[in-house]
Amino acid sequence: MSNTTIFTNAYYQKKPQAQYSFTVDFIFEGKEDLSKILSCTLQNFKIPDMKINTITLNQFGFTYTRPARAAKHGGLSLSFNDNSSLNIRGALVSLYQSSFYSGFETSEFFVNAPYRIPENNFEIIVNVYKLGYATLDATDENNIVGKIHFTGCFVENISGIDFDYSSQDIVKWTTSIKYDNMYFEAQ
Amino acid sequence: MKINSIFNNNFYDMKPLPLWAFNVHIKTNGLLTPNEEDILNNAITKISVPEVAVETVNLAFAGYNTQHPSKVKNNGQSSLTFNENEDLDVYKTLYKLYSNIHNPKYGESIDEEYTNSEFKYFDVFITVSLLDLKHIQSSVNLDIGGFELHACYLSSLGGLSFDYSSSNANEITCTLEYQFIDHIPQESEEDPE
Repeated sequence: MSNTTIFTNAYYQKKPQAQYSFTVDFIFEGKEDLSKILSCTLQNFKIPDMKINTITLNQFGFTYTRPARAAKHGGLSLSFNDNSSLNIRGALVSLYQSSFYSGFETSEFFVNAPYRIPENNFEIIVNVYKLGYATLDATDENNIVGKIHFTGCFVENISGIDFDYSSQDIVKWTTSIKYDNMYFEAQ
Repeated sequence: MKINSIFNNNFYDMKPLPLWAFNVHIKTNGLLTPNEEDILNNAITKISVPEVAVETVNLAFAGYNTQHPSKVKNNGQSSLTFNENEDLDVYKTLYKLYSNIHNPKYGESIDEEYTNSEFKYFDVFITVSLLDLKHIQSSVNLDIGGFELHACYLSSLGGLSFDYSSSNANEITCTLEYQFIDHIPQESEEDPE
């Protein structure tokens, strides 16, 4: 058993993983322009926990927990800065509308009621880089140490905004995205 | 009965035990390589030692109400926090441990199985060690006892935070389910020299 006190711990000879060392790819088939716009303006990304639910069993006075069903799906809250052409809002709305049947514009409301279109789901990939390498060459796959995939994504909502003559802030949109599955791919 | 006033109390001749004077030793029964176990042991920054408790039953008798210990709380949760390095070594190792319970790629194709391998528990040993200031450089510790968590598995693997406006390093917090907790008794004192 090795003694690893804080004074004899060689682990910290490696650089830490900085929170800004990442890029995000949005993968939509046939909508590469939207993907590029959103990837460039994303400000932060919180990777959710992976969880598995547990069940409780009792036997002979003892209590045990056992892993049961995994909580695979989840939600992301992403924040984007918009530009003076409102490109981000347009991209988000386009993405939002593509995920659903929109029967409101036709008389066939009850036939094409708003409903999720699974084949229009998109994928999000968070690329994690070594410290400093994200700014050197973010397109070089060799600098990526891991990828976190979110599959089966669709836009659940896009925030509104309060315009204000007294504000000095810029226009930001927060969108809630649901995903079916999340997994990690080591590089 | 011996009376020790605060002026005649030799307890405080000893140094207090700081919260950072601990080592963690994770044993995974072959799920991880020794090198991977060392990655976790070395990167850990916080660990919560769960409470021990016993449930009680109430008994009423002839006007008296008494409480008696009944079932011992044998299982529970512990929270572990790790610092991450630039190679994502900790996340990769924890992900491997979590994948033992559930295959996160399940559902991506019909070939994926729910679990990657036969489910196995692993043991986590939390040892509280007193750091002898005279022997820090030679990494000699005097163990004063500690805790052992048995039959554990990860029920949650904490996420990472990414933010272009942040200058912080990433931390990972995960939840450990254990079925039994043992208390390591204090070993007899030995002169390290």
